[in-house]
Amino acid sequence: MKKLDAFTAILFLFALFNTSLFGQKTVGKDNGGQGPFVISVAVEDGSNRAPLIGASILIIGEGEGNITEENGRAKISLKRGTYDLEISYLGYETKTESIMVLGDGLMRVRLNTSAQTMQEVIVEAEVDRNVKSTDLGKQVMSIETIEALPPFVGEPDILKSITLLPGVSSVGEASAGFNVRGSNADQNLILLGGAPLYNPSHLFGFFSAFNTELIQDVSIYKGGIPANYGGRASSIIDLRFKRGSQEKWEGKAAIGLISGKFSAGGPVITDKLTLMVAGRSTYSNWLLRQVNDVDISQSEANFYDVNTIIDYDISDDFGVRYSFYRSKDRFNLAGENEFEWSNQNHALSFNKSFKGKFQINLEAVQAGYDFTIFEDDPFNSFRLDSKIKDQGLNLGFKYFVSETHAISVGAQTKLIEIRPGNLRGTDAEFPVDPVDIDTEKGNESGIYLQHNFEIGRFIGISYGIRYNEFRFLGPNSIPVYDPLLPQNEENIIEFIDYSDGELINKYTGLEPRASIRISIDDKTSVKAGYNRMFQYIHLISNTTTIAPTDVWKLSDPFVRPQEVIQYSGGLFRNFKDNSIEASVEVFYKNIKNIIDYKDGATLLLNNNLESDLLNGRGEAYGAEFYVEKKKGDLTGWVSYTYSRSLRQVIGSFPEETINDGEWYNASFDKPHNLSIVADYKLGKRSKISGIFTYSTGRPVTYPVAKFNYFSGGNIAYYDKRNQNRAPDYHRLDLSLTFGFENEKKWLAGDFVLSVYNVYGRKNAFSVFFDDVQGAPPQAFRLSVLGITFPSLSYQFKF
Amino acid sequence: MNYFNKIFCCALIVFSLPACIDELNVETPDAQRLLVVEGFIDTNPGPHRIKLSRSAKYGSILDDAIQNETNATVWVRDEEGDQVFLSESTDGLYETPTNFSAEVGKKYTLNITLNSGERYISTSEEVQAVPPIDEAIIVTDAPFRLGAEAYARWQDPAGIDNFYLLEADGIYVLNSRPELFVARNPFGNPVPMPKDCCDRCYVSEFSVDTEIHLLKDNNSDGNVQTELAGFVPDDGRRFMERYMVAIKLSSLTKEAFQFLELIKEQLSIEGNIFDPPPAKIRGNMINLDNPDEDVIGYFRASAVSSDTIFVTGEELPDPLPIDQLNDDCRVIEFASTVKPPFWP
Repeated sequence: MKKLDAFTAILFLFALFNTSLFGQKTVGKDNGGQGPFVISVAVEDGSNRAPLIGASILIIGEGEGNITEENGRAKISLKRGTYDLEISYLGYETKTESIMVLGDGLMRVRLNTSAQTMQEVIVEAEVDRNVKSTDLGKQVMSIETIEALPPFVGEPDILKSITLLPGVSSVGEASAGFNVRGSNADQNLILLGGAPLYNPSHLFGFFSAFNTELIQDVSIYKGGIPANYGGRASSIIDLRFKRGSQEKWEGKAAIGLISGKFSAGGPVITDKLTLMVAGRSTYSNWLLRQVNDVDISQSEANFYDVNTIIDYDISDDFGVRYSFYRSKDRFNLAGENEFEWSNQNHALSFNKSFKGKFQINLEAVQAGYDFTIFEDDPFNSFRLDSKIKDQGLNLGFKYFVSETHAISVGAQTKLIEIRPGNLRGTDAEFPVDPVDIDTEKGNESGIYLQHNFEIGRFIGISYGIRYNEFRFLGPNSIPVYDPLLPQNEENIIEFIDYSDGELINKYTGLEPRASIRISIDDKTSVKAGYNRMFQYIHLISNTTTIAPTDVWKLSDPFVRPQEVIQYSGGLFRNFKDNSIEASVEVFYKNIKNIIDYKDGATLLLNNNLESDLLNGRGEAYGAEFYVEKKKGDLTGWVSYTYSRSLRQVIGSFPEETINDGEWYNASFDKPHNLSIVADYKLGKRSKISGIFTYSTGRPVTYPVAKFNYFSGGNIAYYDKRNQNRAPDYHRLDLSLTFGFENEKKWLAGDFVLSVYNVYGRKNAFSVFFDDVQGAPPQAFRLSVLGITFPSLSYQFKF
Repeated sequence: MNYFNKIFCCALIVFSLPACIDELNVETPDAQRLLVVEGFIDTNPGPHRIKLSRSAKYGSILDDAIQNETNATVWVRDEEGDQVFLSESTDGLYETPTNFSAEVGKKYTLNITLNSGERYISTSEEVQAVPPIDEAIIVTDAPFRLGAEAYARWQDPAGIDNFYLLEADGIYVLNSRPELFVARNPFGNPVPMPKDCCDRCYVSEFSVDTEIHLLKDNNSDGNVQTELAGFVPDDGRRFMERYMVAIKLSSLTKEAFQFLELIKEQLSIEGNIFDPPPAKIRGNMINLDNPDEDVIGYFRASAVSSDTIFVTGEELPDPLPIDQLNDDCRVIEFASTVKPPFWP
């Protein structure tokens, strides 16, 4: 009770201060005058800077505004003070800008159209897009929404925020992966500025590996995936980078409990070249050294990530963008063992638009991921390196026939090279034999056509087709197994050698996608969709979640491409002038060729990995309910999902069959999933927000017996997998944001006080059975953040 | 706590969080009462022991105790048809005659007829040759481990797939002070009651640690191998004078290796993100009348080579203070006042 009182007191105290807008820009030079001042608002297209004529500017709460003229500018008259402006334009995303008016001035607003990303057609105003588009299973989260959520250890986290949406779940706190509509974590394609991200996490999954400061928005496609996306079977998470300001240099810095970050952006050549840079790093090493325990104070836990984004406008309708991203983690326990992992991505894109009617986009991306494990044993010291290199070229054309009719075609190709493991001795005195697992090389290409159009006002159709070709290439040495015996190492008859670049085998895939919208009235629509997707790269992980040391594997003669066929449907309706969105969506998925593992499988440094792999199939279905309140002092959403995800593995031999060939729960199958997110504005610059989430405990395996062996303790005997469940998961997080006003920018920042797991529930990350001394053999629970965990961060703009 | 849980908790300490594992009350399913066969034969002189028991419900010991399987007929048969019967020495424990030892290159099966009449047989196990241990090595300065690590070094034969199990037993000298023994009277007050004997014992320890040490040569065929056989933790008594580690290197068939590896992997489950999923442990015993019945355990036949090495307390860079025993040293399990013949 005492804690709560104190909390209420702080809350009240903060509420008293609410003084100015949250995250606002200042307009005009401060001459001390009270106005009214003339503010000129220039509205431009976010990609080509073209002035937008007829865009509407609304002063929220005043009911007044203006429409932009021929030059894309509109004049509004405002007194000194702070205002929220809502800028909207047909076919563009509506934007809300918070400004503080100090004098006469100009403010520039850029609106983003989907046309610049070539992935969707937006023909209606954004507000009722959910109802009026053919989008199905798609959700866009703005960075403002993500930043408004209670942060964990002072860090807003995009991937953790995504798990609050319907149909998306994760297995627990320390997990980098998440599961979309009953699919495995490796079936999500995470695109960061167009380049795939292989490990999206820092510190074993505690944080996302990228800086939110640079992200414009996040689009999540759970179904109805446009044909220009391919390569992963279940979902697309598309994170778009921001562009540096063309007006002036501005930046933001934030200091959290264990990490700090900054971002800055601005013009290098006026109206031509903008630059944006950002960095984030932890000071956990310093914190570790303060701990008295020698094991811990000599440990190291380190991560950083850096970004650079350069935009160059060759002309008004021709732009070039280059982005660079690198993240690195290093974890070392008391000098004993060491992990390092790192992502590095480059993306270069050219965008040419012809009078807004026709667009060409050319993109070259390179993504890399590598990890190293250092082992330091007296007679056996080595380092193990693993690397992935993914280089792709994408060409896309898009033609806007009319506002409601667009066609896009394109071709994509990529070369993926995986070095699963190279082991080298590190102690000259005790040499260790080098081990080199065959490098895998593959070429994945696709061509696509996407066509979106409307028939009258009430029917919208979006269909696409994508054709993939995957070629598994040499150099490699492929074993031939005795077809009558289990696929074991000793049943290899011979090896066939392939030279560099030689075709070993090929898979092709035809991926039709379609969705249809039928509007019942202006506020209600029904949609249905179908899509089929193939995946030629697989995460080899026998653990419940993604670990940084998991290796990826390409499809080869033994490992067939994963395939997902999804049928989905939905009912969408908006209420109260589109301020409340509601939807119900259902889906059914047929999943083929998913990888499972033989008991006791060796996944690292195994040259004949296929002999430890099993081929299974899956099925997932569910219903998702979603209500979001988008306007007013209180905003937020409630999302509830009922879904199941099941697996079946039947092999030719007992050791290649799981659970006697019966269907069983996937290890992330969590039938009930509820999230409630609320954000309440206390004042102009202070607010309180909260998250409550509940989900069914994930499947676990209880032992069916215990036995004695080695005269030691009791050993658990397991029979069938995933027959039981961990306790239910639920958690409440709260945060309070409060801003100061000050002449000095670094003092005019925002404090975010957040409390993670308010009532300290010990949610089970895992349930396991052990026989430890001094206690009977029993079940234990590992809870990653089983306590009330407060944190404070401070951020300011400069 | 294994390495990865340390990482986990280390990560949590970074966020100043407390330790994170606690007990959880769950109702485990009723037990499958499976036959458990534990034991092996090797090239050392007998007796070799096979233990038969029944698995029981997982949970507290009071819930359901593990029962031994008594009055079974147990025999080992080689490929030439020679049979050796095992006699039950204590409940569920069956021993070969002392003059029996396995021979390299021979194939053996274990046969069991239970008291109930059910018949079981193992798959055939061939005794693989094992190279001699060339050197036993002690490492006392391993980081963050107080005690002595015992390694074996041997030449791996080239051109064959070898699988090894390493084990370490130990004997140490324990000097105690029986004359300082203090008893407690019925009121709980200390009453000095000096004892006359004994102040010097030789304490035997079987398996110095609970880890299973396995090695396969798939990445180091034909090399000199140096592998950990056991770790003897310093407890303030073991290194009081000197400790003798007896290292045993056993050959394994691939199947025996896989079985032991699976057990080892299952024992390593500690709830963290690196855990393997629980797996069904399959052995090499088959019910002759019902081949689908699950039987736990693996009958193994190995060749062994051994070596011993002494460690004295002075070799430890950072020994713990001596934990004085003020009692007859024979109160310690497996302690004897008889000096072993090989003791210096």
